[in-house]
Amino acid sequence: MKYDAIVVGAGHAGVEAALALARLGNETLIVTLDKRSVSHMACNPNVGGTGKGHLVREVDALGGQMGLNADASLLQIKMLNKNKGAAVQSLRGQTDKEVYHENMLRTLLSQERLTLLEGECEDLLVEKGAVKGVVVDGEKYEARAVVLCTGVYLSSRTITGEEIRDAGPYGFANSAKLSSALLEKGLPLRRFKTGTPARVYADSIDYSVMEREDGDYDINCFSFLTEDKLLKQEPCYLTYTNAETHRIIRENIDRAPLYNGTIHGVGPRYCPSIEDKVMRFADKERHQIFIEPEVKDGELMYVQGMSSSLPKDVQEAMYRTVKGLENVRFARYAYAIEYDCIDPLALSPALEVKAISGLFSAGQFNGSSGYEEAAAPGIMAGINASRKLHGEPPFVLRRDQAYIGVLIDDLVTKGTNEPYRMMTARAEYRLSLRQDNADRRLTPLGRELGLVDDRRWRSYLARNEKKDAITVAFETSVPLKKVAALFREKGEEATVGMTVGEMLKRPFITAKDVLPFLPEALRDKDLAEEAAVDVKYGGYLLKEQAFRAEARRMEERALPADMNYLAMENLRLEARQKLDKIRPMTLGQASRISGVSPADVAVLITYLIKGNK
Amino acid sequence: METIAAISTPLGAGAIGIVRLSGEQSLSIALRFFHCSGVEKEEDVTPNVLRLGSFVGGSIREKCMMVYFRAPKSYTGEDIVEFQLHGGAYLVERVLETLIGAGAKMAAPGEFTRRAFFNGKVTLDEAEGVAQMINAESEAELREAYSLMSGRFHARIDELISELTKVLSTLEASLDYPEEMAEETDDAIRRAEIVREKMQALLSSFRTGKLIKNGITVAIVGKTNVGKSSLLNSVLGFSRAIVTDVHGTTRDVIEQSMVHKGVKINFQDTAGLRTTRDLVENIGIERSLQAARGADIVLYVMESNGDLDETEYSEIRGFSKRVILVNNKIDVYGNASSGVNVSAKTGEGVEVLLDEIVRATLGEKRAADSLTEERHADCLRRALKSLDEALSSCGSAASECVLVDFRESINALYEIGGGNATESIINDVFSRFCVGK
Repeated sequence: MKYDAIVVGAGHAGVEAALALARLGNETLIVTLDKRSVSHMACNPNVGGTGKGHLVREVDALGGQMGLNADASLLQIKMLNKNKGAAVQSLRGQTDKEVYHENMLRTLLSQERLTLLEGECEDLLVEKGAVKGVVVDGEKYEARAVVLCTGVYLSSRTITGEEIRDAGPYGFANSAKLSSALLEKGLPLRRFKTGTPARVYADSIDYSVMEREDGDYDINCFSFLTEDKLLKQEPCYLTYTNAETHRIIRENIDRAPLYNGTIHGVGPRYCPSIEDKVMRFADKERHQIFIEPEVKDGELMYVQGMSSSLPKDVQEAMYRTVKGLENVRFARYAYAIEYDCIDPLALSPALEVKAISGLFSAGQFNGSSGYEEAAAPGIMAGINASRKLHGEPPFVLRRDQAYIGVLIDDLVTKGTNEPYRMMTARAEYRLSLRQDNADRRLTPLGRELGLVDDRRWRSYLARNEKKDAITVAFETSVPLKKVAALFREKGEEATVGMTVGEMLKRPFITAKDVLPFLPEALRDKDLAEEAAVDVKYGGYLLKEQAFRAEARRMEERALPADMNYLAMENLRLEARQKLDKIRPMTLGQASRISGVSPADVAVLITYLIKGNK
Repeated sequence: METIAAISTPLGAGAIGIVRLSGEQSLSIALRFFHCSGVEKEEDVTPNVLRLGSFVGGSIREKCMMVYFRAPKSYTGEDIVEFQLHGGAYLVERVLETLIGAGAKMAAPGEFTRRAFFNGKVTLDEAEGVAQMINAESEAELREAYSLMSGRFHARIDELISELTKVLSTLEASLDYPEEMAEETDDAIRRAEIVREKMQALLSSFRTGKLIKNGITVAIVGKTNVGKSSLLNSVLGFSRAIVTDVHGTTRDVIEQSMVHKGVKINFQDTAGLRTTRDLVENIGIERSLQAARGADIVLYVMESNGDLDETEYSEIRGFSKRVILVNNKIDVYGNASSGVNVSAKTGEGVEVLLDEIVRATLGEKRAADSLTEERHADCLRRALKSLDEALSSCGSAASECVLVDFRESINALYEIGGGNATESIINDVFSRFCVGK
């Protein structure tokens, strides 16, 4: 059996990689252990969140599927940090897990040039340092490009107290054979850990004693293509742990696998289990618990904040101390899961395994965590596998272009010691990398790549033409009388007439306030709000751009792939070893490696000049 | 590209000192201080022509030459302005300080060459020079005397970084975890204000910066009629203090400054120490001791054949960090076995004494050391400037904007010793706050 490309795994990374490959014209095979696990949301029933929402928008802007798929399954949508600036506002949508899975499965099945195969990938075919295909259930499948997106399934085991099972998430089977094959091929594997809370029956919860959390009704959805706002939404509920919950956890801590040595994998600090929170922050009197729907009008609820690997009897006892959960019945118990993944320092910025040509990887296999952190490198690995097949140079996004660039650069340059989560704090050009301008940053690139179809492209052009017209209209002068009237409404005073843009610079003036001063055709509140962001950030954006200009010059200097760092005596030993291992693509990437000093960078510059003479 | 400035000749040596600006703003910054007939605005300056004029700004009013190289025909490929000044560390550093005050950024080690490289301008030799120059910093740190001082300095920088990290991690956590951080109240801004105070204190105590800026204060003390006032007149080269044979001629502290090898020295001639019933003279003697207490260095003067008054000498050594024993009148009594031998009358030994004063206070400094420290001071100044901006906009700007300035502040601190702000901030978020699902 012969394909152009094979994607191993059909989770959030695998589906984006496979769709990108097929859409870019490659005959593609996607292999999954179980069709029911395609785009399965193994943990929280939501998409987005701070920083993550940006990733979804970026994947969408490039022509990916996650945003559209999330929009089609939304139960609630919310803009986080609504009271803060545009750059740190992120979308988070509660989704119907079943609909999310079904939609994506349908998309895969209806995609031209894409074949879905159920089976277990057992081995990689590698010849002379280049990938040749995979073995699925004993049968050979040939391809010149392979993308590994094995998620948390690789030699995974789930742990609930004393109960340890060789299994994948949610009771799915794990991938038992591939790990040893990868180790044999020399891939540096290691073990990470993550976990999930219990799923409980919706009718066993007393919502009346909890705080109701509603979504936002006046905001756009994830995809730039989704025009409708979400008018019918489901609520979430907020409740808290208490002293009794904490007492039960403390008394049973010797039965917690995290504390008694059963679990060896490295867990994420930003996704702590409830026992971790209670032990590490002993002085906190309570912790938040959000009750979120798994499906629309369904029978199951997700108990966010109560992830645990304590034994079942302890889980029942502690969950039932929480207000509103006194009589709760368990459908699935919380568990921790350990799995094999790769040290991402073995990858190039194109997400290609440096040691094996044509082998790419994405998702939790690369040491990240989260659906969005999987989808983003998923589409990038798909794009780059396709470019490799067509003999084109890699497509790498810079840190000043996209959160995707930050995510991948962090992983392949700095590595990670725990499952990596996106945070806005990681993006040094945060004011420019907003979710509202993701299309402006990336859709033209997606168009050039061939992933943005005509419909998306036309919609992009129309939207941005209007946005630009609004920006120009911000130059319109408004006479003092009108300015003063508006300011007076806000309890402020105006003494001179000014342009719309100048008015917008005042913190108390919103885009909505100035709509009447714009030509009638341009009175679009959403677009005006977006256009106003650049005006409001003004000087701060300029500051950020000054840093970008400097950094970009370093990024534009390529380092030859065949540099013999170990022989460069002027480099300090640590720098030689790190550079040899990571093999940065640019001077900029080299400068971000921990252990490479400014003096080492100067030595590299010297070398580059020598090489050019 | 920001406009950068640096001294491009070795400090303190040579007859000419060159201060160089590179970047778009070079000429406009330069013309704020350079005055010359026929030059009013930027268009009046012909590239590649050396002009004589004067540099007026800060405490400086000096004749100097200025030359402008227009991009891309310059060393860095950007607009460059060079000032050629009379040599001497004091003057060139004041000029540099003035330019930085006007908006230029202190160039990082090798930054001119790095820019030249990026603009395709640099030769191999020059690039190798960059690596050496940057390495000089770590070499300098190996030297014992330096590392003691820099060790203390770095410890204080680390402290500032760790305090500021707490401020940033609180603000960042509330942006990335809006739901969980709602209950976390942390006085980030108050903390930041404390950091600012510490930063100001560190900057003002910056040893070389302060000594070069304010000069070294030297108190001349000793018994009456040992030639203290003559010594002052001798080092100054003109008669500043009244000199007579009468004991107790000098009654008050006489101050006069001079520059020796680029370093400013403020001399304080004091009333001679003796037991007297004269009320005015006793007040003068009290002032002598006060001057000795406040000075960076004390010259204890005696006649070269005199016997050392052990009690008085050890009293002075008790309250002054550095005391140099000076044996005067060697033209009459010959050399003594210990201390510095001078003759105020003939000038013999005075040069040696001045060298000793500079050496004892500033140490055996090389140009590289001074550049290193100037770079550290620049980082610190930038950190303070950004922190000020952050604090002043805290109330009005959104927190992600204020964080741009906070970040710039902590990044400037990280430039001193290297390291990564983002990683430490994120580590701090998770160690201090219970966030995450």
